[in-house]
Amino acid sequence: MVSVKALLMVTALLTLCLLTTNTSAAYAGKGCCHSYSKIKPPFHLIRGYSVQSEIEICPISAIIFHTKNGRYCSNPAQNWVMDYVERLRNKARLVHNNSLKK
Amino acid sequence: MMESQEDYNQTNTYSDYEYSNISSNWSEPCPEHNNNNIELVISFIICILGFIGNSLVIVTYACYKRTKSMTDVYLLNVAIADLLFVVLLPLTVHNELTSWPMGPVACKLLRGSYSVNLYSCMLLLACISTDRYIAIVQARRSFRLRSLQYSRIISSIVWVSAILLSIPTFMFYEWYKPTHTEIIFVDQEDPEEESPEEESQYVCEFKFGDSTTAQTTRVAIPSIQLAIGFFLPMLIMVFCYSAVIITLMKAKNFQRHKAVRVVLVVVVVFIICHLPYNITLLYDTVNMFHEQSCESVYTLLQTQTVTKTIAYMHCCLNPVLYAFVGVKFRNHLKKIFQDLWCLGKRYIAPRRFSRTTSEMFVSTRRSMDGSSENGSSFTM
Repeated sequence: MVSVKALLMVTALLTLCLLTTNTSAAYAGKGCCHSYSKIKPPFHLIRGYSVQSEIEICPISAIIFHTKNGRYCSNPAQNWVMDYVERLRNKARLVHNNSLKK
Repeated sequence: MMESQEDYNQTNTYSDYEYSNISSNWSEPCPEHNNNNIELVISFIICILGFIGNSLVIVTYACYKRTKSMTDVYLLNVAIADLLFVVLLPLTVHNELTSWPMGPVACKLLRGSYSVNLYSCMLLLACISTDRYIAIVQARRSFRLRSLQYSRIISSIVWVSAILLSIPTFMFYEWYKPTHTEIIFVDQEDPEEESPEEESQYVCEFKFGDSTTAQTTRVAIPSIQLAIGFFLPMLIMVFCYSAVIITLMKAKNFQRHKAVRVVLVVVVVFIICHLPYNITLLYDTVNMFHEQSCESVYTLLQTQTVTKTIAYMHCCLNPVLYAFVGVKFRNHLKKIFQDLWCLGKRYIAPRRFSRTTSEMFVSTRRSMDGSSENGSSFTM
């Protein structure tokens, strides 16, 4: 019977500990892609991309292209998607090299 | 040169997109459902009700009523599991609604203990039904099979298996920032315009080593939960309680109707509470890897929230359905309130609350010991 009381005490303490370590942060959506766009975004409008991997919170993998008009969920299995990513990487490398020259 | 050619091609696509803006051709990441605090409020209500009910059960067992039958031992364990569950529930909901501010340790602990409590509670309810089955249907064997020693061993086995079944949950829930919320920017032309529309937020969710593990575990964890955390206990309960009802109907006892009614209520409430959630869980598991529209994802999420809440309510109902339905338990409860009332009159005015509780426990235990009688908690 002592163990029950001890258990209650431990629970209360644990709760208190967890509550006090509380730090504030704003909530934003988990925003997973659940389906893929059937259209390509125009490359010149793309400003960046995100990688959604099935090994994380979202159940399917996707590449999200961020454009001035919105976000496109794209199927990473399609060739053009990886082509776009490659081109974006090259673009970034170019910027990097140029800034090194300066 | 090549760039401009391609840009020209894509302008066509672009105009296509302009026309088919609302159509299903263009898929955006689904916005998360609104940060509704109703969920938090409901979880607090469940927490308070569950806390009162289950701690009354624990206090009754701890101070007034010794655990005399197997069902008593199981009931005490169910109350402990439920109490832990309802205490941790608002913390989990709060963390889910914000960006999991309590960090990685709380993430593992809350997710893990949720799973442990779920399994132990469900399996213990199945144990209670088995014990009642043995007591009523197999009455001849009941003296041999029903001993406190057995029930303590079985409860320990239940807790150990609940922990073992929760190991995947402990392992695969991680506290991290999902990569899909982190944007790798290439175009830095107008950085001011890049409003921080969403900062990366921490989540406490699954994280796997590779795709194969991801796909198997995503199916395995809910499947085990469905099989052992719902269908197995439900089948045991339905079998045991049907046999109990049949035996009770044959018996010539003026209280049998009440007993049958109580048994029916126990089963029906269990099914009403847990079946909807488990159906949505099954639906989610089957459709998880298919492409879905944001509307259907949103509907599923809402359904899941509602059915989950109904399932959580079972934790508040258990004390009523199992403990307080018994006459003896109600008498003990009356005694608790009477004692509290008397103590209030005697102690609170001069001394305040400080030491009253421990003294109350000692005094009442002595008074109860004389008048207690043995029997199972299955008395109406």
